[in-house]
Amino acid sequence: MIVASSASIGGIFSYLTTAANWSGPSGFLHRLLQHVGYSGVTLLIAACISVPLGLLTGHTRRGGNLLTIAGNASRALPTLGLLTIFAVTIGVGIDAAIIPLLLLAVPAILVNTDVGVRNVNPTSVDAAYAVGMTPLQVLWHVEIPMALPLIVLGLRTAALQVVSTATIAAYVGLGGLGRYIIDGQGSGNFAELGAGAVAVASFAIVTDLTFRLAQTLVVSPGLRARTSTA
Amino acid sequence: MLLLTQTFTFTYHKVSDWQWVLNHMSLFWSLSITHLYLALTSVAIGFVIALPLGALAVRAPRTYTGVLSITTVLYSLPSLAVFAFLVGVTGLTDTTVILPLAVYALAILVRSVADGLTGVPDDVRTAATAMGYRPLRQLWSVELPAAMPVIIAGLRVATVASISLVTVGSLIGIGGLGQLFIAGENSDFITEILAGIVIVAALGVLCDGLLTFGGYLLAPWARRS
Amino acid sequence: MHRVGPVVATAAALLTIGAHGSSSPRPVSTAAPAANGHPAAVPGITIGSANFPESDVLADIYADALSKAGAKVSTKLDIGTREIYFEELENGALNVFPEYNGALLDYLRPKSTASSTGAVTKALEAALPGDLEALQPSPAQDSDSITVTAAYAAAHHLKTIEDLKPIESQVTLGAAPQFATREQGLIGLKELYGVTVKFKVLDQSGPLDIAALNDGTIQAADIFTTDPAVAKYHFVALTDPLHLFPAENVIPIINKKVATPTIVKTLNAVSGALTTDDLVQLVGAVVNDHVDAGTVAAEFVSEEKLG
Repeated sequence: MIVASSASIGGIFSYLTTAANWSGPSGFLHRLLQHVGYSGVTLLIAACISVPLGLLTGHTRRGGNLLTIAGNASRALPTLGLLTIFAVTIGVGIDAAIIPLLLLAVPAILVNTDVGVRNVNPTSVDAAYAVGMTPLQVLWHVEIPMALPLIVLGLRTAALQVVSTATIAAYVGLGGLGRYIIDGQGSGNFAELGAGAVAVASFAIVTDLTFRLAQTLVVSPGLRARTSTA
Repeated sequence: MLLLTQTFTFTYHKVSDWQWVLNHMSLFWSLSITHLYLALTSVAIGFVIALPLGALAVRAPRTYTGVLSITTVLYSLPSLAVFAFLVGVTGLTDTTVILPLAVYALAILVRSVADGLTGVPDDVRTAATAMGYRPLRQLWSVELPAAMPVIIAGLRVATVASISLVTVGSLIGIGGLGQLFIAGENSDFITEILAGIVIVAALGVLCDGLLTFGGYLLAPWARRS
Repeated sequence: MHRVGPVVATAAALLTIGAHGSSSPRPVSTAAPAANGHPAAVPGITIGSANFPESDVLADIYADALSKAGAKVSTKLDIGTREIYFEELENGALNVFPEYNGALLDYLRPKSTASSTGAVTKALEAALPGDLEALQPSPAQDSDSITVTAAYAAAHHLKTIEDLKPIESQVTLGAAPQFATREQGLIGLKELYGVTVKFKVLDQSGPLDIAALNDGTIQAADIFTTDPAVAKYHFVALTDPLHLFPAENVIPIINKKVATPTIVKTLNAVSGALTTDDLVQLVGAVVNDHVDAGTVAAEFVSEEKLG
């Protein structure tokens, strides 16, 4: 039984503060950048797919059932299972990771965008049509700004999901901060394992805070009073 | 004294993938039991804590935001990181997996309980007070049942997520269906991985269905809405 | 809330069905003691294994042979790395374990320079803590090796590790992270053979190494000699005349408290019957043909008439 004593917490701390562990291809900086890279690119692609699609389904109020299924599926499908099955069929490395990364990011953005647009105050929408706006104008000037809090919430949820999946993807050969956890586990090096855990957790918190900040910044002041902190 | 023997020759023939699946039903069963134990215990613990916490949060809105901020921070932590860190503290035991998953469930359920309770119509509350219900009895016998549909919805999400997250525990050596993914990847065996995915998803669907059914039983009035 | 009661009760019942402390993925197997007239009561044996197929097969072979010899056997498989399971051996939670003399010696005495089977076993016996002893080493070995693809070996006429020297600047070697800092790794490679190569952190003779070798990301990898991938993909292990890697004979580690003459005799018979070729076949069946380790072990024990 491995019990944390002050010794192993100290071990984690010293791993994190050793300068050598920060430089080079196995260092924290490089792996952090890798992690940011994979997560960022995935989020971007997922957003490009999901936001327009969500806007479409929300605006036209169609496809709700399909979205519910997508949302449930993404929660029910195990990340590790998806990663390993692609690793075995396509081969280890980034190719295996990219599809699960996307598969798990898309539903969060899609569902939130759709719900956001769908549940925009109907009075405002009616008023917009009443003053003569075309559907596209209604979408752009009314529905999207009012749905923004939820859209950004969807992006935030997806971002956290992607960071988490990318961490696990180290198991199938992806670089990034998850490597410390997988390698530390494999070699029984608990200092490395713990240091990796702290690094990943810190990165997740920073990501979360960044998106929360974005949430408050993009929401128009008139709406701010009405949005609850999600 | 070392005996010299002829090289052993293995005479087993490879079975079809379907046969492999049929041969391993008992393994799937035992893994599923362990898996469900870990997932459902986590949700149960989270729920038991979420009920009083959510009720408290509704009564005192300022504590609500405080509690919510803490739980959402904890919820944002990637599961593998938390498992990995806890291994040093709680070792290779079930606690290492159950503790973080209970916190994740708590994060979801506090919200559901609070939202459900705030959603109870005011006239229902007033009527209950008028009938002489004391606050605690009111909470238990009137408000919680009224909030049932929302709470059940939260339970469904928490349970499905929990079942899926237990698989991550296999990366640090805690049992469950995740073992199928690791073994399958080590031996390039798609069928094994697929079996794992199917079973995990099926367990999620099963629990989701059971909870929905439970919701119908507990709140028959909500069926009409 | 009168409806809640029955539901809660059912939920509680469902939870207790699955409630058990062990998270071991394999059902624990216990064999009933055989009634074949052995005079003394044979103590209960708990055999452990590390989390790779070969260790599972060996543990299952020990379990099968010992239960046929009349012992009460239970197994605890797929435990994890040596840091974890050796602690259980030391504190008595496990009392038999299939080990590799070189690797275990390296774990206990990292500075040891023993390399032949005899020297390693002798040093190991001295290094083991008081309760534990090593039985006879088996001729079967599964050691680290520097392995390349058949095509690469042919193209550069590679037979031994020394042959890497002329092309060392083109070579990237993939292995587990600890390979970079160990004597039985990059350090020894430089000291013994004067070979310096680039290093890529992958896994220990696992799917990452194999995939990288196959697609050319790395030119060499630290692959275990009995890994089924060697036969499957026609890899070539470079010979190691200067003993960068020490002998790695399969050797049973046993707690002295359970080392009765019957048990010792059975385990030594198993060791004697095992050859490196056998290991290749056994592990190959498990990994390539997806046969259960237990099935493979049972067939080995019955064919070799052990226990």
